[in-house]
Amino acid sequence: MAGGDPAETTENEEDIGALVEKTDVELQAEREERQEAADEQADGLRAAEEEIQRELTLKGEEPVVVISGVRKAFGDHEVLRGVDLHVNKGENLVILGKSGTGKSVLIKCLVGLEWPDEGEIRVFGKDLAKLNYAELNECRVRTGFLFQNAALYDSMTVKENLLFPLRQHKKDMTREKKRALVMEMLDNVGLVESIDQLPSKLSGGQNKRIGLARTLILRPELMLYDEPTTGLDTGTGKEISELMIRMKKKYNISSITITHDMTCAKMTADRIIMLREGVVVAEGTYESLERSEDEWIRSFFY
Amino acid sequence: MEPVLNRYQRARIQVREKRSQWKRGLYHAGDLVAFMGRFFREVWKPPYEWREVLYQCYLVGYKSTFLIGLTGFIMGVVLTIQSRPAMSQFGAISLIPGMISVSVVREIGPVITAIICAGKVGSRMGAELGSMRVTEQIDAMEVSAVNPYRYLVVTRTLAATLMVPMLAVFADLIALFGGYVAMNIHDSMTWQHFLLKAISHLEFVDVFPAVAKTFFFGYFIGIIGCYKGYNARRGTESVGIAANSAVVAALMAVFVIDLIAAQITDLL
Repeated sequence: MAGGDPAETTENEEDIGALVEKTDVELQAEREERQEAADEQADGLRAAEEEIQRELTLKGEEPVVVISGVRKAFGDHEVLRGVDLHVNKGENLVILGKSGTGKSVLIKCLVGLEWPDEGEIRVFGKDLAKLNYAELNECRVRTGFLFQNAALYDSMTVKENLLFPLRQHKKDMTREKKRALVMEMLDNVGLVESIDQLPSKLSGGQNKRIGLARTLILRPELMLYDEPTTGLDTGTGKEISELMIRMKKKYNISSITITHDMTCAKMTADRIIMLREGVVVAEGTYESLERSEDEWIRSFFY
Repeated sequence: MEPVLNRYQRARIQVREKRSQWKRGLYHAGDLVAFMGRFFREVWKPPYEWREVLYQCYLVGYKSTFLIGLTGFIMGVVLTIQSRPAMSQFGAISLIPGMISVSVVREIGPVITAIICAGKVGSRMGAELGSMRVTEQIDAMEVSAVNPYRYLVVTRTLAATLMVPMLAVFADLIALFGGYVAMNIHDSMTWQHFLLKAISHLEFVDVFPAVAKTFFFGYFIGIIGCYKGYNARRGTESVGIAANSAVVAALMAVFVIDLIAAQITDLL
């Protein structure tokens, strides 16, 4: 019969209830254990970070970027839960982590597109929270930001896109000099022939290159790359990574790169940090992290 | 299973929802007022983006001339044809030019121009800035130390404020020409005679408030279009919503300003 013995059914339900409860308790315990481990790891890294910064300060070489204890929440969802990191002069720091771990939010905090709820961000030795609009803009001019989709002004041609920052910030520069600079930048990214085209006529990879040329035209000391190779084929991704390395060497730029692309990370990273649930859980070179015993860390490499 | 609510509980929920809608509405109204106020602070500050202002004037003004001209012409023709039978009953055909000029200059010209601009210019600004927001172009401007409000909002609003009055005057002139053409379907009247009769009926109180209100129309169309686009949420859907709500809000603003202007003119 479909209904069965009512007493037996109740007993089964109780068993299932106990099992679910047990699984929930186990899951909770496991989650807490993982959280504790992550917190411990983060504490260790924080101490190491402080130590490095102290050493650098003693040597008189202040890092270009210092982030300490940064927290950021959107409503109830806490995206960053106390991030500490630094970027030395001429270094490319790659930030790895799964989607939604707050990587983009973190670099947006470096240019004042987002503001942290807690913690301190120092760029070029200045605490961003204490700067007025004009001072913040001075910092922004020294910082380049390459957006994930390049964010080219689609109503302007490639030339106008590149001239736009010069028109705004280099008012005393002659027209000839501006044009020469535009040509130099386009030559750097190998797209001189696209000078009069609209961004909509260019491919994703070409748009990224133009975006890079536009940000580099003001000769920034710090570059922030938000997933520079995402959405590109392997070959084009590699070209962009090579371009990043070339530009870094040519103009001695410090940079932070956010990426999921391990080829890009391997090619460009001087140092890698890994973000997990808004906390830095690992730091090191590509090779050292590749050999990590932590399964979660290794999952990025294989 | 959802709990069964009695009518008092349902009413309480409805009141609570209405209250939160009001709160949201008030928040948006406050935000819009702050956004509008910012225009008057930023418009005086250098660097002045004359190039962009001129380009926007070209888009708002020159690009709308054909549409405004055609509408104005049709308006003049229709107004003359519709009023002719009634006027001829009273033997007052010669008063048609004056009647057309007063109605066109005082009300129809400015309002029709504002309605067309709200649809054409307001939606373009809403969609353009909305799309720029969604594709992070506004953020790119911000991080390259360019004030996007000054570059995008001030220039567009200024262009709309300057161009809508010009378009309204243009619409008035073309509507009068349309009236003249319609008059000559049944009667015969020279252009000079028609114009003389039309202008002689106009007084200061007909012209000045009508032109003055078009500056307000232009300002509100521009600022509302920019506000909706500038504050678009992320996602392609928000671009359409921004364009749509820019038109609706700008049209509402035009009618409210017209009502206030009518009351003020009545006092003069």
